[in-house]
Amino acid sequence: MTYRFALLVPLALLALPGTDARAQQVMETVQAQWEMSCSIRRDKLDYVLPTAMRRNGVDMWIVIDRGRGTEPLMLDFGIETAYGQGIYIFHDTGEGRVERFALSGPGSSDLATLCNVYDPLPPIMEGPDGEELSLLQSIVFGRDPERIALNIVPEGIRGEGVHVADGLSHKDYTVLARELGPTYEERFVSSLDLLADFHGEHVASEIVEMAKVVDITRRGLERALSNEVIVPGKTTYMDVSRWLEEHRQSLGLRRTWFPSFAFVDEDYDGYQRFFSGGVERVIERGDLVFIDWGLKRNNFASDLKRTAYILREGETAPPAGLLRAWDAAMHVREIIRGHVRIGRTGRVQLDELKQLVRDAGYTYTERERQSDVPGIEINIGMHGMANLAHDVVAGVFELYGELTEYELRPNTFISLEYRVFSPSDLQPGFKYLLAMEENVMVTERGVEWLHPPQDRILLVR
Amino acid sequence: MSVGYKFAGTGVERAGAVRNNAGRTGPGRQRFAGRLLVAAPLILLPVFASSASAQDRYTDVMHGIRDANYGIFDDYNPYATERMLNHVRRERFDLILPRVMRDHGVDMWVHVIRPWSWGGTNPMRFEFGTKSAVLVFTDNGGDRIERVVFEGEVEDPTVYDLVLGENPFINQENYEFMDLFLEQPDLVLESDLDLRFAGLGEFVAERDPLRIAVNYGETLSLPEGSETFTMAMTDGISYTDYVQLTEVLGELYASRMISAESVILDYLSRRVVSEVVLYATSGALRGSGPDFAAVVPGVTTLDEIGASDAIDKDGNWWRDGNHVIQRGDLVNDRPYMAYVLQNGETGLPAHMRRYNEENRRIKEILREHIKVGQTGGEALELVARALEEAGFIYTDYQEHNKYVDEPHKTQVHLDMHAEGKGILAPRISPMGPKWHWNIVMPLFHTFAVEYMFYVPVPEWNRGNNFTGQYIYGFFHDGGILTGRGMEVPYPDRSNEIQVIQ
Repeated sequence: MTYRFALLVPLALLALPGTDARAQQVMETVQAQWEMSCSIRRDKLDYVLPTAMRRNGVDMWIVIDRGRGTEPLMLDFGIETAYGQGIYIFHDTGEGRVERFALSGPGSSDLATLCNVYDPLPPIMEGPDGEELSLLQSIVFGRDPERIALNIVPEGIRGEGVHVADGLSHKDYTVLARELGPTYEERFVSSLDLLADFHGEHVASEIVEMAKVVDITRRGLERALSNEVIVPGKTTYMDVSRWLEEHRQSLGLRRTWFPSFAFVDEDYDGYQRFFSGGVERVIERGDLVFIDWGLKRNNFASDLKRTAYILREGETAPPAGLLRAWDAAMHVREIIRGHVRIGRTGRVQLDELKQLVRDAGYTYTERERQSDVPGIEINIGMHGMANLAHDVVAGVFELYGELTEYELRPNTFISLEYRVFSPSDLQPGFKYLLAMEENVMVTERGVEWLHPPQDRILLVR
Repeated sequence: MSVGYKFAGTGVERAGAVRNNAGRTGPGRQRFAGRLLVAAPLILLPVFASSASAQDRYTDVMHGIRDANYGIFDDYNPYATERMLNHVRRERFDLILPRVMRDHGVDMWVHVIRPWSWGGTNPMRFEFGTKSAVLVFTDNGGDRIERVVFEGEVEDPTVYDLVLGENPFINQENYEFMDLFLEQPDLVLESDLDLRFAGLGEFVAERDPLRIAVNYGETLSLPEGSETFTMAMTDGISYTDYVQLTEVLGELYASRMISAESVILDYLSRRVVSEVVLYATSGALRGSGPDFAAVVPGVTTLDEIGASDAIDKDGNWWRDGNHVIQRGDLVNDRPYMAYVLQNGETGLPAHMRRYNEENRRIKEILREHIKVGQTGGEALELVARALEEAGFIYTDYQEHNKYVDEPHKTQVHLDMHAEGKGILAPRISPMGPKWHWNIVMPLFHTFAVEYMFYVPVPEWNRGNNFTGQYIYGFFHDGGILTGRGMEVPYPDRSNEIQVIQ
């Protein structure tokens, strides 16, 4: 039998054609990626976790990795393995540092400990009757935490990414409760809010890693939406999806999802659904095309959209109405960039953004489709992201109101996502849709780019 | 600060950032069933020609459920077409599902696959044709089991009696529900998670099952049961899902829940004939080893024929790919082996003839003693005894043991684990947890005929090759149990030592 370490792909050995040679340069070796992930783990546990635990009143956090990719946080703390890495315990000593133990079980990998992230295991203790305790009991009983966070999701929670706090299996909960006894079981709380802070604030090395995957995604999308891949009247949307999938596989990366498309054509009804694959519709001249796609690399995920127009015969530029729509999109982007900040909740910022959009002369719509109102309509929906494309961190997004209650943490990653519905001069009542999405970081200065944003409509000739 | 979210019956609170719970728990809130009483969206139906391989397809959200490849580990199998795999699923529902549920005294089987793990690792995703669903199988009597996709999308809706579709609130990509909020301004959702189970309590009560198997672990160390990474055997649903399922079923039916671990293992361990066909065609695709016929002694290197190593006539071990193959070398790329005759030799030396003869004898013993209906442990006991009686040393150790009392005897180790579904049990081996050995081997059990053996070669005592002097051989190929016993369904990859003139 063999074990698969799915992430250990020898990326540096891949030969990439053309402009992807530059992408290859940033892919690095497996060893370099591993060292980077170790650095992130160390800094994250040193700088982010203590604050996150104290802010949420958590004294101890227990994470159990039972293997084969079933623990959503496995890459935060180690690597994915067949049998899991065992039990991770984080304890706030109250003295500026969080103790961190990896109780690796049989079949786990030394790689978790090779990172030099975890503390030496403490000695086994004796119980009140002189009996020898387990290591788990020794750590928990010896520290007597009042609130123990587990990866379980409370009722009443709705929102993207909540599954990152849903990693504890029923069986493991049962075994853990039995091992620790009723006194400590009563102290179990959900780790959801703790996670929102842990995933919501980023150290310097995370910024570097996030920027890499986002830039690789951007370049792939921009190649896909070009004459390198598209022959108008011949290439189908599925063909472009296949090209992106093959490109992804050549890079040794995972996807966040299959490339999803939207297009605006002569049959446009004002509501543009994104669809994933399976559509062999030919890309025709005059189509306005969007792709929404993301990649995963070294525990970071991207989620980007790119927009292209397929020039009609004789055209050298998009129609004037479409260019006006684009100008509005750039204007709204600057409104968002100039307003979103760390240190305030998404709720407050979203409400203010809606008013700013109205003040700028647009109609703010809660719907993701055009209406009968005259003029340009805007909808904003900025979800948090980091280790997932839609992570359970602060968002500026009406759809998951729960997540807007979180405060944007320092160096948080967010999807700068919004939609523009702008009247066309080609058909009465018809509005162009522009579905915009970039991945950005929010600092005390505002929104900062992790990658070059799309400043103009891509053209396919 | 805690804000008082509670798990029903557990007292678990939310850790609590600053949060306002107003409006979510007040009177008059609605639970939106959100159920699409239609078959799964047509966009999910197969769009590719059925003659092509299903495994190299990039079909939207269903990608990743066809990893049941009927081969060793994650072998590629071009015969596992979408049409064939759908056929297999239907056959298994018709022929295996009723027997498994009745053998285990289960009236209803509820299987939950979380929607969050895109690509998924759930071992049943191929079996049920989905990577995100709440599935309910009910034994209402008669010849068949009622099959219902209570929530979720499936690859082949025609194999189910009822497909209620995906809850529109579950899919993170589905932003259409923004419109639903606008159309129903009073709508207040309780949770994304428990929406999957909305209405399940009534559904179950209508069928009134006495024993409800649910996919959570109870006694078995399931993660140790997996052969591949992609088809994980873990311990089932999350604690959150368990609590929500318990709530929605109500006290009476929740008390009837039992672990489905044995049901799942049994279902995965049984085969229909079409699976045997797939398994055999996959095995037949495997390579045939180095081109020993191309060897020119004194000229050809190991790398040039793709061999891994060689042992020379004195027992020295050469592992450098640049080693030039010499007369008297035993060239290896296990299980393939070949001996280069020395000048004047007309056949294999005695110790290599012994290797071939004992190898054949081991296979004969396996064929004679492994039968349908035995547990893996029972088969191991029979085979081990027969090996000892035949003059071998049966050993629980996978490595050569130099401390045995009778070093002149050949040592044999077995790891004949299940193949083709990602699980290792039933298993004829001392390896793995005990439950691997306790499962009965059913008709058409597909498994690895895997054994290692060590033939003593005292004349290699001056070599640099081993801690002991022996020829190490191994065999790893596919086997099937029929009414006649162990059969190999395709030309095996012979591990006999061949002769290079």
